[in-house]
Amino acid sequence: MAKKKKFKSYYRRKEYIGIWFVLPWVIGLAYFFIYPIVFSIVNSFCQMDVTPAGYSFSFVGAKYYKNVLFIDQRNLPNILSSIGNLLYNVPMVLIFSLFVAVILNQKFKGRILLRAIFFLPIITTGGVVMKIITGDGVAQSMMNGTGGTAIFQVTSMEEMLLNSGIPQEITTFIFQFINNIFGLIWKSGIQILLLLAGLQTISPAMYEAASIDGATGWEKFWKITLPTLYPVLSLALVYTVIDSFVDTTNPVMNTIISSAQSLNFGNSSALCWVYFTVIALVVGIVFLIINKASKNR
Amino acid sequence: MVRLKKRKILFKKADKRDLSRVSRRSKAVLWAVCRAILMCGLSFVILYPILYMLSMSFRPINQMADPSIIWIPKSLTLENMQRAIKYMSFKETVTNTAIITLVGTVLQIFSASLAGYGMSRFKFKGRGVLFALLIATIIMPPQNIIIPLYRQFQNFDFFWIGRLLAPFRGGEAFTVSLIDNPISMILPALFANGIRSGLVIYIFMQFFKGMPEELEEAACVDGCGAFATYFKIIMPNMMPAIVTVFVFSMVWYWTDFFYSAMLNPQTSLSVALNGIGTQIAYDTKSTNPLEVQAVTQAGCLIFIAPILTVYLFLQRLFVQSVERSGITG
Repeated sequence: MAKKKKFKSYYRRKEYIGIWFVLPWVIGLAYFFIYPIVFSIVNSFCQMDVTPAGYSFSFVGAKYYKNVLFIDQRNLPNILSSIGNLLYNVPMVLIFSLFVAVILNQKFKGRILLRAIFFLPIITTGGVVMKIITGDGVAQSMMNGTGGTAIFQVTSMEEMLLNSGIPQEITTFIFQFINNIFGLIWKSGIQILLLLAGLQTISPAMYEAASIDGATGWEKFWKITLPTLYPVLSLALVYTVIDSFVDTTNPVMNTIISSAQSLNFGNSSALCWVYFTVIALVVGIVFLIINKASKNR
Repeated sequence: MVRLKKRKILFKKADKRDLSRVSRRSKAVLWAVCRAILMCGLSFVILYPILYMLSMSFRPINQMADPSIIWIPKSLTLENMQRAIKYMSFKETVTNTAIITLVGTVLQIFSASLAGYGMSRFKFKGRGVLFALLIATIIMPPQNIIIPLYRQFQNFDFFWIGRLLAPFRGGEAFTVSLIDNPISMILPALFANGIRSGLVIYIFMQFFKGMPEELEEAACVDGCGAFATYFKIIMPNMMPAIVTVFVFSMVWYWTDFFYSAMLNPQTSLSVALNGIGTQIAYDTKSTNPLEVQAVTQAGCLIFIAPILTVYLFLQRLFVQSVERSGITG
């Protein structure tokens, strides 16, 4: 009885203790995030001029938003195509990284070396190194499957499969996969490491108990590995969605960066906010799906 | 007769069991072979740029355009390496970047894990709003906030305190410029707003969610306070998550170009690597692209080497933690 009472007070106490835990982050959030984004919102409605005395702002209303949405014809199709890219990019990256993570978690000779190799993409993606690698002519032809001298050219095989009566959607999916295998590996570095860490929190005792009950490896994967991995898997899903949106090779991001570089901050901020709204909507939908799936579980 | 029949059946059963054992064994061998082939192929794709870097950076410049050389040069040279080290002013930049990476990562892990724990375990008022803000920090393209952030650091006013002091200083706010100062990279990490901090907090949240609450309840029964529980019980049991996030965070700080180029361009390794081509053109007045390519590839190799070494050491810490946590199943 006494124990129960203590728990109750503990949970009630929890409420305000939580605020102490998040306090440093909240201070930082106000200073390093909220204040700058307020400035950015103001920026998207104002024309900023650099004067000798500093900056001067003059209100121009929704002019930049009109520019971005209706006058510039590239932006809307670019945004739509980056949503379309998600539909095949995300499942491919997730399945691939889960597959690799499960393999890397198995016990075999040389797995430490392999883990080091699969760590390399994390170092290079998004940074200067990737820029240098992709900027280099020889290395580049290797990476773009569609490039002239690519070693992963498979068009004739695609025709063969199409002629043998397999629906086009499936073959395009397969060949997107094969053509983009380089990009795929380099995009899933973080997901692989995340899932690997998730796999290692699963107790081996569970697998032992399951094998004593006569479960096969396949059953163990679906009944133990996947459900336990669910939080990390949903994390990887969210990360993949966001990563494919804010990747610097994305055409919308390119427009944002280039208009900021040409000191057109109004356009850049407006496009950023439009794009941000789209990303927020998509990520919101992803969260809804995740929550629903976790309730059904 | 009956006995014979029974015997036959018994034999059949034994046969079957033997067969299944053999097939299971051959299956395992088959899988090992498939796995080896697959992993070799994937490793090749990943290692290709690294091999290319190795091949380029130890190759003398007069052999760069030699069509008879594909991978292995006829003679080796350290010249490209030495030039890369010189042009990147390696000693200075590497110490600075290492300090920023180490301090930034440790501070970020500390504050972000606190925030992640607070967000995942406590249900206080305003938690929903904070979660929405957290997701907003993850999905906000950094290009959107970098210019105002630059202005914040150019006229850093100590969290608005400097501005409050303005009336005492004749209407002038007390500000300090933190541009080209490592503090501008480290300070946001202390407040869990460093490079990709939102993601770090979210990763911690997900890992905390997967952790059983029994441990904390037990600690509470034993009269352990919330912070003591956190440092004595939660942290030690979160080692796989902490090591993972440490590795990510370290890499993000080490390879960061975007924030470094804006806030700390003078002594940042990635900015120096990016500028090798310009440095060569400035120094030797030559614009031979092959020369630039060779030195840049050598620079890439030097850039990757330290972080890869650190990872190889950290990898040993990716250990099974559940066995130690005392809660199984």
